[in-house]
Amino acid sequence: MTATADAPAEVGTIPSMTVTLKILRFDPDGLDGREPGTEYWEEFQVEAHATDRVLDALHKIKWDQDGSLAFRRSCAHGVCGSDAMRINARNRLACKTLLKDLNPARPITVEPLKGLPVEKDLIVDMEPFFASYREIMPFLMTSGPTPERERLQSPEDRAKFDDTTKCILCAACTTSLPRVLDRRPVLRAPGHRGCPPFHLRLARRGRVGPSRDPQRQGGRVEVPHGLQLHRGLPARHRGDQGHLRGQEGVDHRRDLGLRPRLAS
Amino acid sequence: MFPTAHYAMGGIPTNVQGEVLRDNTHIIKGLYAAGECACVSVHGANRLGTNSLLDINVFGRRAGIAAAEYANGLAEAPALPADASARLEETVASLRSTVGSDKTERVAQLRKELQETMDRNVQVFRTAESLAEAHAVVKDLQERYQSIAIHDRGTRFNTDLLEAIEPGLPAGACPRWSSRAPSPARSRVAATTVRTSRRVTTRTSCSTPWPTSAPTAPSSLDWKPVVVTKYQPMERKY
Ligand SMILES: Cc1cc2nc3c(=O)[nH]c(=O)nc-3n(C[C@H](O)[C@H](O)[C@H](O)COP(=O)(O)OP(=O)(O)OC[C@H]3O[C@@H](n4cnc5c(N)ncnc54)[C@H](O)[C@@H]3O)c2cc1C
Ligand code: SF4
Ligand code: FES
Repeated sequence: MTATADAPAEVGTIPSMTVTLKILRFDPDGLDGREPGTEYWEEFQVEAHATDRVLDALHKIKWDQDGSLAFRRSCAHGVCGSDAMRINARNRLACKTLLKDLNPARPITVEPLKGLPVEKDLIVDMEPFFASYREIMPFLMTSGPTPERERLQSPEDRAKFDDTTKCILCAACTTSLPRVLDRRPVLRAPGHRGCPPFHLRLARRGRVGPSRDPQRQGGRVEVPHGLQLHRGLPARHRGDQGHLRGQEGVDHRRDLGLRPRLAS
Repeated sequence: MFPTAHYAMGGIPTNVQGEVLRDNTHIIKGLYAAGECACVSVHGANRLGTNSLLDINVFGRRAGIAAAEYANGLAEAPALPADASARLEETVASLRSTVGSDKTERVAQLRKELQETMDRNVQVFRTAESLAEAHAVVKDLQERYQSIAIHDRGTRFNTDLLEAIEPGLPAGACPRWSSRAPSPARSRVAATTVRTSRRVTTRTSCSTPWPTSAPTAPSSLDWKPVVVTKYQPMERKY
């Protein structure tokens, strides 16, 4: 029994309830007799409103009950990408997930993203993700002399990568790939790196369409050696931002001027 | 819904090369600032939309070039004072010693009260009364800060410790800020003491450099003349 509505709410007030969060913790220091690097589940009860977000519940724990609970967050409204975590077995942003959308009558499980090394509690090391992002070089790469004025882009070409401009680099999609969930590392050592589909989509930012760099028209795009390129991610693995929907039809390899290859 | 900060006006005064100014004429050699933390004074009484990123592109680049030139011209890096990190180390040690102590205040509660009073009393339109109220609240919070305890003994990603340092309560940033404008004579850039219903950006526009030689020293107010060139101050009309 984890959710109990208070006495009948007055008109206009939102009833509060007791919500249980079951959090997978990671102790890098080995405190309280634990081995350094111990993983353990801990349950917390918080008073919350159905309209509160998981981030609010985490804050209530950190601020009122156990200050040692560690998680990242910054903007608290879905624009900075720092609080992606696994909530009820799905990658989501804690600041955009309402308790009422999670069946708060049952314990809500919260875990760090899989496939990235855990630093402490819900904080993961994002470096492998960013290393792979850097390798893709998702910006405009031009050839020829610098023009006198800015490089214009046609609305049609801009539209082709519009969705990628919404990416906040939270890693929720990448770390929900089946290989990650199978606990096989998706971001491997340099030289043999799986390339998350979203990276490819970002790569299109700078490279799609000839309008910004006429000299590249029809030309192939250099892709760093060793990267594996895949087609779009099936919708069921999309990240929480929702904007990855419907990308099955998108072939990143073709957009990058490469031969299409089937998704792995 | 709750308010969030979009932009902080003012900042570390610099010249157009990003060199940090000690006062209106002297620079602090080898120290550079650019971006939102800096104040080159290009924004006037209010930063216009999109100009923050432009500011960063222009003055970040300039500061980088100037810093590289300065560093290249040096035979060796200037020595830091031996006690450069002493103050922070002391803060960290004293906060760590509160774990498991009988102190009961939580910094989260103090921060909430600080946010509420700053939001209510030290916003863009402020009055002498509202500032006096904020001042009293902040003083009280500073006293209560002596009784806070953190929970986390950890050495990695100790965000509990970080959150206890971040509000800057001991250093007293807020009282300095809120003590800034009660004087009716001082209408600061982008922060107006409400006296009339007209909003006029006049010559009294000034930047108020805030020398911080010693963090615990009483704050002092200084003035920086505003050079009016092409655009004359005028009443703000909506
Ligand atoms: C919602 C929102 C929308 C905005 N929209 C626009 C817009 O459309 N156009 C525009 O021009 N401006 C906009 N701005 C303003 C603009 O985004 C910011 O002013 C600008 O990004 C500031 O950049 P910065 O590099 O100076 O500072 P920041 O981006 O704030 O970088 C400061 C960095 O310092 C790090 N840091 C802090 N403390 C420490 C420490 N002790 N040690 C080491 N590192 C530390 C921080 O982690 C951070 O990475 C917007 C701001 C917000 C909040
Ligand atoms: S594509 Fe979406 S889910 Fe993936 S990293 Fe970007 S914002 Fe996060
Ligand atoms: S805290 Fe910024 S995206 Fe959630």
